[in-house]
Amino acid sequence: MEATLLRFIRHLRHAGVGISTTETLDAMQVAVSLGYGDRQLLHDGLASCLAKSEEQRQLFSRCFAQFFDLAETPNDTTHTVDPETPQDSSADDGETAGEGEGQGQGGGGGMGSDALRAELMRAAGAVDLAAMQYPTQRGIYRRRILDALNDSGRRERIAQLASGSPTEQQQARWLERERETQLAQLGELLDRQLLLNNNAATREFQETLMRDSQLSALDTYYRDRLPPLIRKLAKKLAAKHRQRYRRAKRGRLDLGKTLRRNIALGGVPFHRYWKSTRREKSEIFVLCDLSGSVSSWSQVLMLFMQALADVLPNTRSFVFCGESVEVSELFRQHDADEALAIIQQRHGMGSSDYGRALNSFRQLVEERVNRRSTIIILGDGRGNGGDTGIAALRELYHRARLVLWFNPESQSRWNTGDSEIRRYQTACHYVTECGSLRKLERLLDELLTLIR
Amino acid sequence: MNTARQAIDELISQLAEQGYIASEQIATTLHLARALQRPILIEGPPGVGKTELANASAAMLKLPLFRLQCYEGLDESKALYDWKYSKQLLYVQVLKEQLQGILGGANDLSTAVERLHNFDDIFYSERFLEPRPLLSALQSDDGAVLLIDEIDKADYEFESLLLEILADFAVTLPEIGTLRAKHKPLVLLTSNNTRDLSDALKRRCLHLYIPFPEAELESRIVQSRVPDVADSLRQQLVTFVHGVRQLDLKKQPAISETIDWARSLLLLHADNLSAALVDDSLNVLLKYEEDINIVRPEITRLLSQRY
Repeated sequence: MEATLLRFIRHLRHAGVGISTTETLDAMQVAVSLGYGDRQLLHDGLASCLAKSEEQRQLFSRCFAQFFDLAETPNDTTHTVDPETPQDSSADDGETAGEGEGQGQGGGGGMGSDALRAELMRAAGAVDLAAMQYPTQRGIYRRRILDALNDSGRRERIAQLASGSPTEQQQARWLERERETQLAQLGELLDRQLLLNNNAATREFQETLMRDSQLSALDTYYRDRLPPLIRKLAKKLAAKHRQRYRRAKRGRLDLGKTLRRNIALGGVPFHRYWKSTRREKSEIFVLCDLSGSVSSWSQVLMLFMQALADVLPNTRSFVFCGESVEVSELFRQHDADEALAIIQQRHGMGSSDYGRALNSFRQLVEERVNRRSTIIILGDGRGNGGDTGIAALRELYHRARLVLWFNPESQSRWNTGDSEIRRYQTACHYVTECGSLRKLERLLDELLTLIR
Repeated sequence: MNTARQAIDELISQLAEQGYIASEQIATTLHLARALQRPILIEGPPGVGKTELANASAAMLKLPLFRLQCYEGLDESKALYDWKYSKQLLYVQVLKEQLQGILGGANDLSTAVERLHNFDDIFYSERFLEPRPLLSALQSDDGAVLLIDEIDKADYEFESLLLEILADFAVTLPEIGTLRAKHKPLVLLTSNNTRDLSDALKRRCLHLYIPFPEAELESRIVQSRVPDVADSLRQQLVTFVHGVRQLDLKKQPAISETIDWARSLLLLHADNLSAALVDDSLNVLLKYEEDINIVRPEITRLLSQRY
């Protein structure tokens, strides 16, 4: 059973539950002490040492059901998912019983559904079916398993028998049926194996693709899959930067105060006093362009900042097409996805007016911006030839610690057409291209290192 | 395999004797924690009996309970051990003359230092050690229950500090060396999930999530805690609370609130929930004005629900 447990753990890992070696060892001990007989008990016990959060627990329960249903199948036909198989097998059995007498031992005859399945499982083991990862590999593995079952030999034999005497013809029909049953079982087995591997490799491939490609080039299929990926990336970033959270919160010995307070005790330092350092919190202002050309990037950035709330609690988000509007409150009240939809609906759609946007943004935040503030602006700097609002930005630039401009456009297209990015460059500490998720992730990583 | 099932059923009934109604999941995890000698990390919304589980287990096992309440800024001198600084100073002052007597006979510096060396680290011995909850739990003679409450409130550094204790049940003091537990204590950590705990910590623990209980379980819990409440009232009350939990509230009423509410209804000599009574006593169940305003218009509908 240990091998089964290991396979189950691999299945869990495919599903996205991270499990370490110690946890695997724990699971072994749990299984030994609880036994495999009581399903509910095993479920509860394994859950306690393999699933370490509420989210993982749900994944665990699903995988547990999936996996142990499959693992049970070979011995227990009542659990078979395909309702036709047992019927077939009973029909087979009936005829086998009737004909078996006359046939003697005809061509491995009399194999019930279970035996057929066992044979199939052996063949699957021989070709290492567990290594199948992509749905496109179905054909190859099907072929390999059929070869392992010596399917061509069987078909020849059927053809040979079919042209023979009436009893032989009957035997051929019966072998043919047996073959069909096994083929159906094979299809089912392949489906389940893919389900078990959870398309892990496919997903990984998709994620790499999404991280590296231009966001504007992604179609809706991938765009819908962005938020979970962003949350995952943000979680990794947060974990990396959390460690430094409170450096030296307790200060050093306050010698003067300690001596003064202990004068009454003859200068013997009975009571000690510590200098404490107060860390000032820095605030981050994010201003996002919502106009058609870059709105999807703005959404990605806002999602990212939202997911980083754990390590960057003092973040305020603003959006603009014309006037700048603060949207931090919306994120507090709604789910991130929901909030984005509301923002897009209320403030989105329109062409960007940088003049109005930057001026109103200055009015909104001017009082709060000081030498600890960081301002991040996301936009392409294409103001349709209108007012640039650069004076307002420059004012903020002088007050703030850091003004960053993320431009989703590729650098080669900067300063072409109505792009004013070169002028904005003079009023920012850093203007950078953030064409893909990977680049954005790296930028935020650097930002966190800098301001934490 | 039946023995495990029996042990768990027994555990449930023993906990029930202490007034703690445990679900099967809770009992299974507790059983495993004792069998594998692993700490349990308990998560769940506030007020579902996380801390109470530690109290009940300690009472059941007849072991002393050491409780460490975590908070921001908690460090090893408050959680693990500290030197009795004042005592050290006092001894130095008192022993000053003694020391002079001992060192007086020495005619040069190296002899004096040599003599001092013979005293070893007198002032950094276990006698001057002030054990805090973690060390006390390790040092207790016949085992103990150690409750580390609301670990999510402590700093990340503190989590790392706990790792040695959770994995090896040992503490390394730089001045003395490694102290091992005489009897491995049963360790329970609770977390309200206000932040993610580090993977290293989670890896070393069994994980137990206690959700809000099912209606039937909650009814039994109320019965065990407030036995004087009549059956019909209890069922009405539990159904009502479950209805309230379906609403979008700032803070969902937990078991402790249900119990408080049952107690206050008992004081009001109520034997039936009426809309007026609920309206008057709603502030026991809900702790925010906004929540009360959400629930108030729903009272009649919630009361009409059947158990």
